[in-house]
Amino acid sequence: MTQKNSRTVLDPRSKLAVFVAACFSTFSGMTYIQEIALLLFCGITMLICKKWQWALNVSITFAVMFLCDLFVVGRLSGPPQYVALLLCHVLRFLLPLFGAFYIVTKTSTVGQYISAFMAMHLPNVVIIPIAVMFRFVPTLTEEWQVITQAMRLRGMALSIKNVLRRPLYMLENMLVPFLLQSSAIVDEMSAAVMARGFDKDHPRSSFLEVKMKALDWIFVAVSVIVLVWNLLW
Amino acid sequence: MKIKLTTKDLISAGAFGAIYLVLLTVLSSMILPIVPILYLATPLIAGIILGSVYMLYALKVPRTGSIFILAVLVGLITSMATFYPLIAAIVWGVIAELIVAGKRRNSAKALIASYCVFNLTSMGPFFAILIAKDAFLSICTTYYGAEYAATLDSLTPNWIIVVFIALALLGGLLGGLFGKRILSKHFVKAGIVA
Repeated sequence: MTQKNSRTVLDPRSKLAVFVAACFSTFSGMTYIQEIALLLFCGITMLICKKWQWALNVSITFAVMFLCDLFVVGRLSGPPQYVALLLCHVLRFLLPLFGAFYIVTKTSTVGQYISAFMAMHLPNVVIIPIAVMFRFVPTLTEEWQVITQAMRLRGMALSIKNVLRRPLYMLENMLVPFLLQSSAIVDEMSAAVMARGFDKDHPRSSFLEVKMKALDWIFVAVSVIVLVWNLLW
Repeated sequence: MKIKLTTKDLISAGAFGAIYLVLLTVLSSMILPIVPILYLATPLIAGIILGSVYMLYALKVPRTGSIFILAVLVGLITSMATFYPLIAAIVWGVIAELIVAGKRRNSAKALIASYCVFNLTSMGPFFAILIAKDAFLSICTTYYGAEYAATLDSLTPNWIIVVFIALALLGGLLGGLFGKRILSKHFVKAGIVA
């Protein structure tokens, strides 16, 4: 039994294309026009994925940072300039990347990724680690918040003072619960996956069918154009 | 131990890859770049922190190929700008895998040694400094400003690669020892790994 992919409009593969384009472009150095183009592209992707709030927030943040960079940073000097530069310049560069990452991790389910990768005829050794990796990042941030809260309750907040005073002690106390918890989650996850029959060689059928539609091809094409543009200029 | 990787192992690989990469990314791209000298010490600091993740992973998935998968995942994510880190990560992954090949997989010393090699992957981003220094510095200028790039330039003469390798190996050693300590102190006692 299959169901039309009603939750999201875009195919996971085109979202990955956007993400890859954002990655390579961000780290290749951009002019202002390229930056704006990339951000617009990410914004449009968010709108199509029905993340109105995120698209709005990201655009406003970008505009504020851009204006600050143009008009405020030049007038400051010393450490304040450094902080302003870091906030307005470095974070602004990373903004499209964060946006694309959000689209990739939050708007598609792991099931969609797996069925998309299977449609590309990738072997299991490739599909499973990558799918689990994407699925695991949000879980990790949740665990991390819980652990830092618990640490704060016990007077070991993750502050600069604590880290400098007793680095190894802090490291141990952060890492051990984190790893223990992740290790337990991994075991549960593998049990769940076994129950869905992943470890058989038989080809799987998917509840969520993904299909590349015209819109997807447009997005892939635009990603390629943005990528080439950024890498060549 | 020539057993094929099961689905369960692949899941662990993905999950630990996520932990490793999230920690590495947070360290190398958000916290450390604030000060140039700390940025250059990434292999050392990341090595110390990630050592325990690696040790736990290697003990939890004692199969040939597991370390290689982790290396490829790390290589994929660190080669956002260039492809060199991926190639380097594959080489280090194979060597790390060979060090713990066969029965040596259960020995803590072999694991620490293999982590020393594996940690060379964490200097992936710095390959750009070596191969295309001018391009790297111009990117740094657009990101962090000319002053930062100049400091970075003066801090990275050509022999810096030796320092990076030394730092990575040292980080790997310290991280491995630390990882072994917390493993035997917490995880073995809790019965998570043997």
